[in-house]
Amino acid sequence: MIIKNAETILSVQNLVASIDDTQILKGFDITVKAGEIHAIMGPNGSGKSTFSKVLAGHPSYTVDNGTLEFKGQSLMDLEPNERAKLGIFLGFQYPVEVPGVTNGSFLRLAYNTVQGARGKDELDPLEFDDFIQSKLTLLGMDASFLERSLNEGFSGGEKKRNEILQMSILEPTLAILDETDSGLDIDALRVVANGVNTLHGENDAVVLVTHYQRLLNYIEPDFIHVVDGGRVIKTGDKSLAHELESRGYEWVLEENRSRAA
Amino acid sequence: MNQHSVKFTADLLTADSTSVAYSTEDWLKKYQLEARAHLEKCSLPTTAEEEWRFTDLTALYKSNLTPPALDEPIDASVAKSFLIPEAISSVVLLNGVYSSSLSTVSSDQTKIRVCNMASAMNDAQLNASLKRRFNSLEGDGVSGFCEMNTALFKDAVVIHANSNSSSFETIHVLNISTGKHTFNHPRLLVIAEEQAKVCVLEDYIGIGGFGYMTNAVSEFSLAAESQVIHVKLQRDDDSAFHIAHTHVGVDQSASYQNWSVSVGAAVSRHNLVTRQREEGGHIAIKGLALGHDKRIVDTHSCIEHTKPHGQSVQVHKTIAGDRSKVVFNGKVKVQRGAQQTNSSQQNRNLLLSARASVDAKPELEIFADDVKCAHGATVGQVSEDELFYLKSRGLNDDLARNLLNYAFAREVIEDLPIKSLGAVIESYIRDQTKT
Repeated sequence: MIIKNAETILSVQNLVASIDDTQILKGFDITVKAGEIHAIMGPNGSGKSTFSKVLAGHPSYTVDNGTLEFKGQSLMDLEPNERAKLGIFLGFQYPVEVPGVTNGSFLRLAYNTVQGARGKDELDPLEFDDFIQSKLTLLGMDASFLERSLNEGFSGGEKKRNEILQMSILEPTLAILDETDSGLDIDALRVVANGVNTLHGENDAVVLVTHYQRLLNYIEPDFIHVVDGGRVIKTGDKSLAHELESRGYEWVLEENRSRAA
Repeated sequence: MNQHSVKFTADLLTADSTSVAYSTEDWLKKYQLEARAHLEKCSLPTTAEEEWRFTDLTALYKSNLTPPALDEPIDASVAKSFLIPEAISSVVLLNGVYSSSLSTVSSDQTKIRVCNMASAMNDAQLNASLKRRFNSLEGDGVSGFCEMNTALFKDAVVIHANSNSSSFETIHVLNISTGKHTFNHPRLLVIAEEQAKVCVLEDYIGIGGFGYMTNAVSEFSLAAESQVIHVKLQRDDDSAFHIAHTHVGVDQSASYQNWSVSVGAAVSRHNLVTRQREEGGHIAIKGLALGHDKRIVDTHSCIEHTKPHGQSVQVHKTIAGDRSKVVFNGKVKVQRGAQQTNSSQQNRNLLLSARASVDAKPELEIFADDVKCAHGATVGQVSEDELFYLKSRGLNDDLARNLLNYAFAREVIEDLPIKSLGAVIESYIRDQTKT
């Protein structure tokens, strides 16, 4: 939802970032306000995933230029865990499997660390079990998920649900969901989308990074940004997604090339 | 020959020349005199020997060790805090000598007999059994330290599981060292009769002790179709030297399951030798060694299949942090007649620091032509992506690394049959892999 005079959650200006001396982001701009849902689309290799990793603070990327602000505060010198405590959440395209750490104890640890930093009471295992029950129901997950090792042996759909489960307990102000729709069948996609819609409110913002328009049938974005060559080359409303679906990316890229020339 | 080793060997033998432990029994006295005579000629091993080239014992050989005082005071409540709830009998050895005041032995001795050497020798039947099984050490993995133990041990724990023991009752053998720069030579003998079942926890700790040497020898003899679970937990004081030899003989269709966890001592060496002596024996070994500070932790294992249809599975994991040095030498031997052997060995090493080192050496000697032997060894670091994932959920760097280190080690301890040890070992892992 677009709210007049809403607070700016994320402000990115002229962001330039590289990995192993190869520049991937080359002047990336985006502004996200409270209540809004943004979709970032673009062809393979355009820099979409890199943007989400840089935002969350992946150590392999270096920021060479530009500004990256969350609610007016620069994120540049903050570790990923400090960003998480501020309210930034990255839903991973490929959630990492961590054998030997049970999902339940990990979720509680994450909850206590992040919510504790925001002044909430820490929950003991019993309290946490009560707390997480409704979240599991929302995502159609069985309580046995909590007993399994974190993501180990999870199907693609289970991993993505688990990401949204983490989002639900960490209650981020800014959620960046990187290709959350990839690898999901239509039922799982509905469940995940429904979860995101339920969790989203007027005080937080969501950024969806996706290849396909399909997800946007379930989560309606307020803005769509097309990314190519490490920059946002076109921004529009949700009708842009339909146009991209029917015409592909080429015309936007072409439009951009002729503008540059 | 190395002068430090020669002097150290001679000093230990003279410091304790007065005591041949059980001179009344001729068979034992013979072993002890033979061991002593052999040691007087050949001293303890040094890095000049291939089998010991990664285990530098110079610091041990340069230290002046004395026999422990026999009446060293100890706070009983501290000692008892190490006991586990699962044990039906807890045998406590204080500096290598059985402590009747600290031990609690089950009154029912009909299934599993637990006693010290002297009591065992007073029992005619048990004495006959001991005579046959004691000092079964031979072949791979034997060193001068075994002879040192045989020559100088003060007491031994004897666990004898009868055929009617059918429920894996747990016996805790707790070795406590309290001495400063002392030595002790604990000895353990476990005999499982046909179809017997028993679970033994062999545990080493230091309470107030400093710079001492534990030189342990444990022998396991498994008769046909018996099943033995053996957990060795080495948590000696960080300043101690821990040398241990475990020798296991597995008869027809018997099963030996071992968990060896090394989280203590400044220098430790474990020689674990298991031999499948008859058809169809099963050997399963899980090892975990933590290198921390400047510790040297060395595991030399040997699994020998001598007869057909044997099975062995080994997983050995190590974590090397700080300036530690971790060694794993895993030998698997399949003798000519041991057809249809199925063996697998996995060695995974996690390096936490640029100054730590890991020496991993799988060694397969196969003389039969119809066998399956798989093996693999890896050395790696904590993955950046795993770390980033955990940190993006709010966990700080130390906590995230700690969690990943524990996750790496957990495979070894997750199915430990003694449940209460899980949390104990977890806390050692967390403490010793902190950055």
